Amino acid sequence: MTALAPLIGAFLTIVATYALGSLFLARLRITLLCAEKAPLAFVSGAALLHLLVFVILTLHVAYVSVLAGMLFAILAAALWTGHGSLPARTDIPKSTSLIRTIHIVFAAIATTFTVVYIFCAWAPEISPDGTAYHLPLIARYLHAHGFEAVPTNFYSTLSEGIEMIFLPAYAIAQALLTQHSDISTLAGAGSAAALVHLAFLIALALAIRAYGYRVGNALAGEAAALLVYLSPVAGVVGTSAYVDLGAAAAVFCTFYFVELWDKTRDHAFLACIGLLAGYCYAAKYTAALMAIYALGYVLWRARSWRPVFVVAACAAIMAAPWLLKDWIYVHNPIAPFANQVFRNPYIHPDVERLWREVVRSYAVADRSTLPWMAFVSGGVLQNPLGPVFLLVLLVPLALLALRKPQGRRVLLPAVLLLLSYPANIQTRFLLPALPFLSFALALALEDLPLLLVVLIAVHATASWPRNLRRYASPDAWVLRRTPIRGALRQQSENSYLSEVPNYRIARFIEQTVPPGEKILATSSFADFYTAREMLVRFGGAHNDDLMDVLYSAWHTPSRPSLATVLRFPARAAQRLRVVETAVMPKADELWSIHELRFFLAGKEIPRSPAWRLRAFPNPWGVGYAFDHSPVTRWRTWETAAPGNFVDVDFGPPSRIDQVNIETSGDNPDVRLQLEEMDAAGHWAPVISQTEQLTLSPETSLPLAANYELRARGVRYLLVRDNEPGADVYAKDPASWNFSVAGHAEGVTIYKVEGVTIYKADGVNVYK
Amino acid sequence: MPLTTPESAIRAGFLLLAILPLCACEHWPESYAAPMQRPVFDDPDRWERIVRMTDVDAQEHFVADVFDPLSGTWCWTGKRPLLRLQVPEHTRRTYFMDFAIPQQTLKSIGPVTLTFLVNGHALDSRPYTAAGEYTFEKDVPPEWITGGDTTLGAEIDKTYVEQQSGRAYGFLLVSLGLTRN
Repeated sequence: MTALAPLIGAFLTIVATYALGSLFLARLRITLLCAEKAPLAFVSGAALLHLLVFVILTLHVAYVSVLAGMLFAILAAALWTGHGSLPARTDIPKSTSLIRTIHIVFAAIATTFTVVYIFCAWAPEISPDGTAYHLPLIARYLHAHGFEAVPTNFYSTLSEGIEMIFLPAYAIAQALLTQHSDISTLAGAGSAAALVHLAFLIALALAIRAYGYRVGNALAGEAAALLVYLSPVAGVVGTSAYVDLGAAAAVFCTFYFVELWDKTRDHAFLACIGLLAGYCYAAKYTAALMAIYALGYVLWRARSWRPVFVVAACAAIMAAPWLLKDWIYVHNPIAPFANQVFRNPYIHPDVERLWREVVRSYAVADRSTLPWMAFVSGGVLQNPLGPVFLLVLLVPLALLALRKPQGRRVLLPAVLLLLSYPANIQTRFLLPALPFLSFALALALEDLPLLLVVLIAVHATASWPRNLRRYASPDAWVLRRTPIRGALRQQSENSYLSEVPNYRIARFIEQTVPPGEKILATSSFADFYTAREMLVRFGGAHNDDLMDVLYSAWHTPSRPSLATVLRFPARAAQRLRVVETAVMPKADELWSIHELRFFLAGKEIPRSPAWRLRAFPNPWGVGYAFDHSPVTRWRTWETAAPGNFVDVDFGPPSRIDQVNIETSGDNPDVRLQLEEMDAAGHWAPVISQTEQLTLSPETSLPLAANYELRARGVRYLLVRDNEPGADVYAKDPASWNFSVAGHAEGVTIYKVEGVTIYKADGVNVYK
Repeated sequence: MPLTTPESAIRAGFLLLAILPLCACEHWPESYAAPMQRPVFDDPDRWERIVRMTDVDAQEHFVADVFDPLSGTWCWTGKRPLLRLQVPEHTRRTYFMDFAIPQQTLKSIGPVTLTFLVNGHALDSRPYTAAGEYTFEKDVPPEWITGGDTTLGAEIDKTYVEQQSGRAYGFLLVSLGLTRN
């Protein structure tokens, strides 16, 4: 059963998805060719099914009985109406014996790779993002029987249109494996999701092939399908619980429906175009460019707003739920982006900036090495497209396709889709454009069928797992073998997964940290295989604040080390604010205040409950500048800019002659001005003497950090041996009141022991 | 606006799109109260207290004969500068003082002797015959540290008296306190 469960879950979901699409297309009275019905019905069905699952999660009724019942109901309806069957094969093009032989060779290659892919997807899931967030989020929703806010993981704000299709397969496999160990259950459920993703890859290849049939370029279609299908990046991503092939399939099928509409001008296709264009957004934000293509193309060809409106309305049906979900949960409909427009307390704009910077370059200093990595070695771009695609770059063969109308049709969306690639240069972000480029490449060579065969043979040889091992870089993520024993569960899941370091760390966490505890860490480790909640740095504003607390206790630039003292003749002030006035020379310079203190005659004015605090930006963190903790700080969490402020309303006017702004050394270009609100409600500068002082380091910062972690319910800290700060904690854990809970696999888990505060002779002590 | 024509529907669509960004405006909190004040962590076994003249709160520790305004990283003292610190009682610590004796002083009054003081007890005396920067460190008997306010200081045997103001200057104090031994 451990081997069969994922197959059953995936099979039921895939068949029901196809059935739903068939019912939908039949309802629209759309007639398709035999070759195109399966992929188009499957992807259309996925768009609709994702909406049904979304509703189930919204209603918090995501029980396996409900999900399985939904699938069976769809299947029953398809059987009852007979709409699930494929039409008769009338689309087989007449061809010579040579072409027929080529078809057979292509089919044999495709079948061989399909067998490999099935075993790869069927084996326990080990992909980086699959185990880091795609699957953990599904597991979390299922556990809660519905959506729940996950503010500590910004990946939860991405649209999850493909994950919605994984979910029924996952739930069914999980239900079939409840009697087995937790690892068997998780691995089985994960495999079910990966198999569903493989179905998208197959659907994509079939759609490309069918498109070739449809436009009279059958051989080009088959070759293009194989160029995509055999590509190492498609092979490894498509057999994992990722979403990229689902998005690529939605993109290509949107294009396909646009082409069908253009040819027939049947208004029924407009609904398909709209729904799939919207589903592109639901599948992956970067695929939303296809909606622009669809709307633009329909407007251009129809010269009328009415069909555009139909497409837009249908697209909105698919995309709006995700916009609303993010709006409700994180107050930003397009989270995790545009956090400076849709300000919210969950995702810091600076983290968004950092993330975008990272994915734009992946720390590749020499950009000239990128093509080699993208096409051949993988490297930090993770996976290669395959060496044959160098032809696109070195000999721009695809451009030869411009000579043909069909070539121009496929290159237009390719160019549009490539526009988003510089935003994230990992190779898999080329996948939405790849079918179009492949089709153009194949089209250019269609008149030389033997050359096309050689090209596909070279591609297949280069993409074969055993051969990939020879030229892909060691850190590239590619298929390196066919895990038959792992897929059939002849090798135990634990044994299979133990080859992956992140899995071993996840199990180490599981064994070391008690259930229900949260763990603060700088990076994630196959979270899918641990039930403990990981608070990963950059995962959300809460996690960033926690990590900043730790850094403030040891990291010299983050420590409270400077004080700006503003002295002025005593005055009764009701409302004062500190305003930043300078433009920062670097985007990574944030303004921060560890503590903002007010004095009269050298004595600090105690903070009163009557005080009202405001700040811009990040008003939610203003309390950190007034909590008397040296390790918490209010930060702009975006590049400091003129007009940023922290504002204190004292309620009844308070006599003040000095303001101390305690901060760190990491915002040297910030320039501050003290302002007071006058009786008319206008802000006026307070003329003051300014001194810049250095604060003596406090030895109690680690204990203060310990207190803050515990106050937020964090009792465990996971540190990689080679990460910044690791030596600080390891050298003297007692000064932090940490105890070593365990060390393995190059990571140390510290337990954050309790700090009890009591007063003795007027002095705070702890034990 | 009835959606009877495609144009009106499109207008409605654009209106909805225009409204969407407004969701960015609705979550501004008006203001927050001051939060709970965090404790100060003073571990009796770990603390050290060094008052540097550059500290923002340095003047709060001055008891006598430390002249302000502060200047740079040091300040002039009188004959018997004293600073007050809050420390737990009966802990083992080291007296620490960073100071300087200027050439001008030695030229006027000759070699000087400094007596280092803890709660009125003389910890040690040292002669200084040359100008320069000095650091003095010596363990303090735990019984001298009685908890609460502890007074640290030093006494110079001769002072340089400025003719104009009549003020008596001792030495330049950089930092003074108790460190872990």
